[in-house]
Amino acid sequence: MIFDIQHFCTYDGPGIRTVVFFKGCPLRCVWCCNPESQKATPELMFDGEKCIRCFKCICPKGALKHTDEVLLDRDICNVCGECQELCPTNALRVVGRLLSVDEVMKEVLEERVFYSENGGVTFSGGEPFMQSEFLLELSKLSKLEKLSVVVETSGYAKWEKIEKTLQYVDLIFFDIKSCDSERHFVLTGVRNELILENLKKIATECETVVRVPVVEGYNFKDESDVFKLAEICRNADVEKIDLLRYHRLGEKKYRMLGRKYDLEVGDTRFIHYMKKILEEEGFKVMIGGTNY
Amino acid sequence: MVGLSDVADSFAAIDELVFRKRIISLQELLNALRSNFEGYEELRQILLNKAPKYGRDELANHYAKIVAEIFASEVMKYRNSRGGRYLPGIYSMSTHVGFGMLTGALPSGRKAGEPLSNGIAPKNARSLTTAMRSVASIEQKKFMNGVSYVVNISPDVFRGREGKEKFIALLRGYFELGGMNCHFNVVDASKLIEAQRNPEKYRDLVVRVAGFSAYFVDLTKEVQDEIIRRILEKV
Ligand code: SF4
Ligand code: SF4
Repeated sequence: MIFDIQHFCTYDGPGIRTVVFFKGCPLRCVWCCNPESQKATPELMFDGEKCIRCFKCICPKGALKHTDEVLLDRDICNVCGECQELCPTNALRVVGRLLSVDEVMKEVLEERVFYSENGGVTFSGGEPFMQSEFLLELSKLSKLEKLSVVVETSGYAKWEKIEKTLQYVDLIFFDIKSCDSERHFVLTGVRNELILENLKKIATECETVVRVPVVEGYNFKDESDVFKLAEICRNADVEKIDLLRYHRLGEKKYRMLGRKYDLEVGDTRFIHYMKKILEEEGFKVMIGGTNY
Repeated sequence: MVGLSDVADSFAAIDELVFRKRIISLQELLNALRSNFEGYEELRQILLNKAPKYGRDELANHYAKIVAEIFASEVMKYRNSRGGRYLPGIYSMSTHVGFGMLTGALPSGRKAGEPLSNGIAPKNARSLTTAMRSVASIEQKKFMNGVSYVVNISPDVFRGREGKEKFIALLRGYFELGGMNCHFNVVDASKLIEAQRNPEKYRDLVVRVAGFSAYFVDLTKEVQDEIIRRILEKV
């Protein structure tokens, strides 16, 4: 189950890459900027800004009502996708497709001429290890094609699901969402013990960069959190940390999925302070995958 | 030749929607074009959103190739008064804007008076690399008068040393595929503000959003504002 394949990505690993987004994630981070990545099944998205109120969208189930606008009853909708065909503007769109390994590989290899020596494919999500067999096959084939393989993971998966794939992976972006297990639970829906355990194991087998979404006031409140992060990375022998600036670009997608998003984030300058502390602790730190 | 992408997208739309899927009748399309889509917004949206596009889909790429080849071989047939050849080229300089003002509505969904496509560039590509693949798939060597491929891009897509390497990989790929020419137009914040006002003119402008790049005009107003702010503040 894939929700998107994006060509010409330049920030998810070295070189020019194609990113394959897996649909389905065991975490529910309150700040998630890709809410359509969370559920492991297809979903209907409705974009009110694109809709021209032509009312061509007739639902065989009766999930779509037309007043002076379109009202979607998600309890009735079974995501059959018929309205998507009828909608001229693509305001109604189903996200999530079941693709075969070959179909994904075909799209990835179409861009091969741009990958040069270090570019290739990045498996992102959602959580790629949730579809571990699929990921294993894709990674294996990509390596056979001599592409660079990057995986972005939340680290929340059974070790058996992770282990077999690592030999085909060149680089792992490993997310640390919070250093405090209680808070991790509140913000993402799961505790972080399994994640931290996996970090150590993964980092011994594969080059690993720790990625930290910085949502000031939520997952990082003060210096002590930063020192905890440093300790975790040191224990796992990870040298590189990539801090991700919080942004609200996903907000509209919550509306399109009929969900609410309320997060008031305070001072976004904290991230630079974090970088300074972590650098003093001896780490190589980047913000958003770049040096500026 | 000016407006390659408009012609390819128009043929692809007719082929797909009138002949293959039979969603639209030829008569209906003609009526819509004659009235510059007045009262046919729904039909126009179908043409924009449900038809294959050059730089994105096979069928439209195929038409771009055919149109380019017919044009090139036709031009080569003619001689001027001193017996010299006319050489075909695909570049528009800025005439795509002027000629656009004089061109009526098209089956691609383009309204009368809007700019035509610039040189050999696709108007509605999926990504910069898919655009380049389509552009390079046209037999550029038949155009002895040259082709022009303009890529509009914001400066932060290729920043830093790594950015430079990625830029090199991009160009290598394009020329390896048979591309002949490509210019980069690196735009600043003021251009982005203009693109917000006139999205039709800036369909191909690529910007860095967050962990990915996208076509500027495809983004919502909120996101566009955020990017402009970011470039202004150099964060
Ligand atoms: S996806 Fe199917 S069930 Fe859901 S609203 Fe559209 S037509 Fe109705
Ligand atoms: S068909 Fe699409 S554009 Fe028309 S009313 Fe329904 S959602 Fe809106």
